[in-house]
Amino acid sequence: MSPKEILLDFFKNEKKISGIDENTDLFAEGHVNSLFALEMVVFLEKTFSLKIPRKELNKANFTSIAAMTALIERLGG
Amino acid sequence: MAREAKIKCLVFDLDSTLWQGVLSEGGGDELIPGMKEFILELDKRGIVMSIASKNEESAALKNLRRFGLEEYFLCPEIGWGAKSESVKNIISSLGIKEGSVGFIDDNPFERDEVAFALPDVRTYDAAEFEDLLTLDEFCPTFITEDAKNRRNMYRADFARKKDEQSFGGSTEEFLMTLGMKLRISRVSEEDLRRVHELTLRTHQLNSTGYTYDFDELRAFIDSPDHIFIIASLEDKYGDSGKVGIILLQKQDGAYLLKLLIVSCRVMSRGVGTALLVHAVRLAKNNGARLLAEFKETEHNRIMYITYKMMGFEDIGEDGDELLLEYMDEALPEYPPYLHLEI
Repeated sequence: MSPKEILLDFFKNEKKISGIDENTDLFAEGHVNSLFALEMVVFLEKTFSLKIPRKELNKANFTSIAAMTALIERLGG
Repeated sequence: MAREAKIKCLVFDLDSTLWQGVLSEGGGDELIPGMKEFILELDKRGIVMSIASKNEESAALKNLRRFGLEEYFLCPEIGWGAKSESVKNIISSLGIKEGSVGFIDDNPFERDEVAFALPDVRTYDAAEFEDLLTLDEFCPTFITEDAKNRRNMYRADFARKKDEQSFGGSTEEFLMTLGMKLRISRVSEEDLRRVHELTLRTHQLNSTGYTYDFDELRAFIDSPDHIFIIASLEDKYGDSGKVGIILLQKQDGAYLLKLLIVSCRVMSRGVGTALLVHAVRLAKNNGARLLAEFKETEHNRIMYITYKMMGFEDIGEDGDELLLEYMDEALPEYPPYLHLEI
């Protein structure tokens, strides 16, 4: 599965949030709280064997599945 | 060794520890003398209690009920497995650390078995139970209102968690069903003990880990250069008590967040976010920038992520202390599932 597919699957099947596509603004829809954000970070780091540096821990990189996919590519995952 | 200074939970054996004799052999008619008073005192001190006993579960619970003591014990583990397994289950059910647990049993074999599997658990001989109340680890520094209520808060937590698991919807939908009310107010003298407790006991949801003594905390209340705020949470399951604090220091044209602390028991219910929204609004309404200090510890990465996800950005660094600033132009909204009382 591509990173995009893995993330879509994570939201749909693990988190049980429907109606999300890769460009959905996750913050605007209110899906992100602190624990969820931490979960996302940990999920990305574990699934794609990355360590997300502090500089990249910002809203812009997690705002949508597309943003997270770009982050993963940038970090070489 | 990761033993904490204070015991948060004491796990009891039953036969020849809580009551006299062995229940399955016709014993268990009488409590050990002084045991009821001991239990009531621990409860008053905010030390929760549980049971790890090799017994038939319904018979044991029935006997506890007979003594009017069942309500004092959370998550009893009564069965025939190893006691160390029972204690492990209790630790996991209560969400506490091994190093804050004590185990009392008359049988040295059982104490050794638990100590071997869980070296950070402190074990005590039942014969010496009366001395426990004088030991430092059983004497909380202060007894707050929330501490006295601890047992009920745990029960409310279990009810809530159970419903959350069977809910099947997304977290946010579930949160909407809780009917949560968050009361935000200025810290007053009577909040001081709980504030002090939060600064000492909270490790994960703590942005800086700064601790202050009572006089320093009291000074913040009266200081014209500080805004000291406390939040209380209640929902349909019960009152969670005082669960979060922020301390803002007024500077030239800016408010600086020195403390952002949320009790881990109410993690991910929006309390931290609500407090931050409140801080942003306070700053904006006064034409001030909102800055925040962050000091990384082993446990508080989630706080850094919270800041960043809310729209704070790194603007400076001084050793292991980071300086962040809220950069969003927009006025943030409080989480929709919290009813705010300000």
